[in-house]
Formats: sequence, C-alpha cells, structure tokens
Amino acid sequence: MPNNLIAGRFERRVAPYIFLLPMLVGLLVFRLGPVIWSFLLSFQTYNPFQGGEWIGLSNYRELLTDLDFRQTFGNTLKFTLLYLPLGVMSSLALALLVNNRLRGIILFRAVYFLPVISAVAAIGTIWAWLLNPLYGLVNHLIKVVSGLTGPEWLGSPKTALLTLVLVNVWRTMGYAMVIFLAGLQDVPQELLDAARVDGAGKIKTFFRITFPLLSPTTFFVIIITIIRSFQIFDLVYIMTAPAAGEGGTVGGPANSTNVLVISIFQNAFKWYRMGYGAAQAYILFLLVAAITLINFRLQKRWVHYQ
Amino acid sequence: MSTASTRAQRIFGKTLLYAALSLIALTVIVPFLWMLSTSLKGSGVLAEVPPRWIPEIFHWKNYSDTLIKHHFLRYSVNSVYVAVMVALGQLLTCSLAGFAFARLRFPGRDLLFGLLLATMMIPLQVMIIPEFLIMLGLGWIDHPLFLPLIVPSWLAGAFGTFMLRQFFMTVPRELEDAGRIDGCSIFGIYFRIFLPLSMPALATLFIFAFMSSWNDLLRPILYLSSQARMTLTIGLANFTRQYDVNENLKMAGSLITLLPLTVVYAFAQKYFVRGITMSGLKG
Repeated sequence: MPNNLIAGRFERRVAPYIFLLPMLVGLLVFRLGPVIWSFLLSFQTYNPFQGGEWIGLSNYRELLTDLDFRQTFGNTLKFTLLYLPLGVMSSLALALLVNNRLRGIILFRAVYFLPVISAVAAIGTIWAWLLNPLYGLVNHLIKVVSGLTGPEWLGSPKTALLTLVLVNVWRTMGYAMVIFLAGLQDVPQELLDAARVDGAGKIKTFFRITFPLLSPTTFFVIIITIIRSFQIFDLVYIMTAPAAGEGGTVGGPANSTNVLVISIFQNAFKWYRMGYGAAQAYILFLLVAAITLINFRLQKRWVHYQ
Repeated sequence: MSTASTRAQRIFGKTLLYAALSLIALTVIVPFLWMLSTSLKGSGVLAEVPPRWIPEIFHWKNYSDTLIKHHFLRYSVNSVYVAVMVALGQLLTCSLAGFAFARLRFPGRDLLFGLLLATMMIPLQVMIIPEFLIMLGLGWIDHPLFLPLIVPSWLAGAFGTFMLRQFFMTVPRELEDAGRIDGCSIFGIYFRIFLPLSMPALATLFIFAFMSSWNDLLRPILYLSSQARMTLTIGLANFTRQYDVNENLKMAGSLITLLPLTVVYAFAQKYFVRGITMSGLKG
C-alpha cells in the first residue's frame, strides 16, 4: 500500500515534468529565449566575431531612413498585394472544380497538391529553366502561339517580382485548395437543393449561399496567405541567385525582388549586422501580429458562422 | 424540357469540367515532365528549336555524373539521415509532451499549452539569429552529425505536440482505466496503450516532419559549409549557381531532390495532405 501511495504521488508530482522535459527545454532554449534575445539584439550593433554595443533605437531609426529598406518593404507589400488575390482566387476556383463527384477526381486533387510537397529548391530551379528568356519552354510557347517575343521574366527588374508571384501561385494553389474544399464540403446540401428548387442558377447560388457560408474558410486562407507572403524567402533565394563569381546578390536584378526576409538574411548572415537584422525581424513580427489581430476584429463583422 | 436535352446538357457540362481539370493538371505536370526530358538530353541540344520532348539519345550518364561527380549521392544520404533523425525524434518528444497535455493534470498546464501554441505564430526569422548564435557558441556549425539541423526540431516541435494532444484526447478513458487495473504505470499507459492506438496520427507526424526537414533550405544554408556535408536542397542551390553547370545536370539534380518524397506521396498521399493542412490550421 505505501508503495502504491508513493507511486501515486510520483505520478502526480513528477511524471508530468518528465514527459514535458524535452519540450520545456526546447521552448526555453529555441523559442522564448531567442525571442527575447533578438529583441535585445535589435538595440545593439552586434557582429558575432567582433561583439557589439548598445545603441538604443538607432537600428530602428536607420530603418526609417534606409532607402534600401524602404524598397525592401515596398517589394514585400507589392508581392503580397499581387499574390493575395491571385493565390486566393485560383485556390478557390480549383476547390470548386474538384468539389464534384466525378470519376478520377481524387487523382486530379493529388496532382494539384503535388507542388505543395515538392522542395522549393527544385521547383525554383525548374521554373528558372522554363522561364529562361532565350531558351526556356515558356517563351518558346509564347512565340509559337502569338508570334511575340516573351518577357525577360527574372532577367528584368520590371517583371522579376511578378514572375516570383506567379511561380508561387503555381506552387501553393493546391494547399489552399484543400482548405477551401473542406469548407465547401461543410456547406449543407439541403440549402443548395432549396436554392435550386427556388429557381436560383449556379452562379446565384454560389454568391448567395456558398460564398457567404464559406467566409470563415476564406478569412482563414486570407490571413495565412498574407502572413506567408510576408515571410517569402526560399523561392526568392533560389530564383534570383546570381551565378558564382558574377557579383550581385540575391534579391536582384537591381534589388527588385529584395523582400523583407531576404534583407534580414543578408544583414544578419552575410554582412553580420545582426542587430540591424534583428530589428527588421521585429518589424516583421509586429506586422504579422498586427494583421492577425486586425483580422480577428474584422472577422466578427463579415464572417457568417453557421 | 425533355429528358434527352437535359441529359445532353449534363454530358456537355461533364466534358467541359474534365477539359478544365485536365488543362490545369497539364500546367502542373508539364514543368515536371520538362525537367525529366531536359535531364536526359545532351548538353549540345538544350537550346534546340523547336524543343524536343523526347530526347534523340538518352543521356543516362547525366544521372551518374550528377550523383557521383557532383556529389548528389552523398547529399541524398545526408538528407535521408537528417530527415529520419528529425522525424523519429519528433515522434518521441511530441508524443511525450502531447500525452502530458492531453491526459495528465499538473499546475500551469493550460498556461504552458497556450504558450506553446503562441510560439507557433512567431515568425521563424525572429528566432533564427539567436539560434545561429547558439549553434556558433556550441561549435556546431558544419557538425559531422548535423546536430544544428536535428536538435531544434526535436525539442521544439510545437505543431507535433499540438496534433498528438488533439489525437490523444480522443482516446477513451476506459482504456486508460483498464491499463491501470492491469497494473500499468503512467509510462506503461503511454507506451502500451496510447502509442499503439495512435498509429495514424504518428504516421502523419512522421511524414510531415520528414518532409519539412527534407525540403528545408534555410537551416542548411546557415549551418552547413563543407561539400561533404550538404543536404540535397542546399547542394542543389549551390550547384545551380556554378556557371559551368548545364541545365540538363541541374534538372537531373532537381529530379533526384524531388523523387523520394514524390514516390512516398504516391502511396501515402492522405498523410501528407492531413499533416500540411493541420499545420496551417495552427495559426
């Protein structure tokens, strides 16, 4: 009996923390600790090989006047504003298409989702080749179909950012498709049947019934799409990398694809200006937090929960 | 309206639907097919007009060159090792913590769980600079066992913990009680009852963790520096940057990077979809 009591006490007092130990260590060392540490770094000039000193708000003040950062910020917004409507609408369209009971539909869904599981490193490499201005398949097809010379895609500061947006839409549309599909399958069939009995056409049914009922899903997709566009990195890193020995940096040509996380990466790990990089990371943090909060407020107004 | 015309209409609608579905499927598949086609061509015919879909001569040597001469075999071994270690470690630590959050009572549990969920919404970029400094301080940059790619995901798998907690909550309490009557300790209940019942959830987490590690680019960029210790993604990224590498070899390298996950995806698609959509639902 005493043995049992000891065992009982052990299970209540000690066992939970044994289960939690790895997670607690990780939470402190790789999550909470670094969040505070990089906040402190953002008030310093810090180079891992030379140390640093406290400079108060100078990093943040520099962000306001730094022309490169202004361009970086503008590029990030531009990317988001282009990617958001294209990404959300193409995913919704795909979801509506695959929300049909047809033979082989599962195979189509699987194919559309394939780019989502594929390494961005490879996707970027493949698309860089497809979009090669001189020898790429895409410009060849444009020539055959329209007789025109295709754009320079990644080669020109005018089109490089849009090119990244388009490739990213291609890469991610299957992801939000799956989320929209789950939302569509929650729309009660009785309502759709009732609308049809009342003589509503497919388009009217979509705008009057399906779309309003889908709004929680749409809301969710919009939030993650915005947050993910702010954090775009891999694709830009792969597709805008200059060849070795050619000078220049990622985020080109002419800084036209230098987005926020590329800039954080360059400052922190290329030039070892870690304090400045940390300040930029905190700007990103604030943006992400603000959008999450604002949207949660707005959500109450326009989202119809069933 | 006659039934014949509605039937014709339905067939027409179906055909239209299939046409749209196929067209989109083509835009997804064609880039991959073009990768395959280019990867088998000789260097001299890459700029050929009109482009040829099926190479005249299949240059299988592109693959042996990429694998051996350009080290992609080495990179593959490294990628498999890192991804398996990450996935196994996550199964262990996330299931332990998930079990505690789902089934044990202790002070501060809900607060701690809330904190864990909150960390999932913090952008990685906020934490990566200090993480790099930790690795630098530990002397783990270019570590022969790839510890900087493995250890953070072992210890801080917030998503996995969340997912397994949700799953463990659905296990009927009667099973737990039965285990106790049979004299199982709390560890026995975790190991003998909860883990075997959670195979689908564990498989989802394994695949998700494996895929995240396999496709990761940022940490390999930061923590790997010698050629023998590259994973596939960073190996491919560096490879494409070399000015004397032709597109056929770049495409062979891309295919080598994509193939293993694609094969697993073909057989275990639902686990991929489940893991990826759930990880998005977190925040």
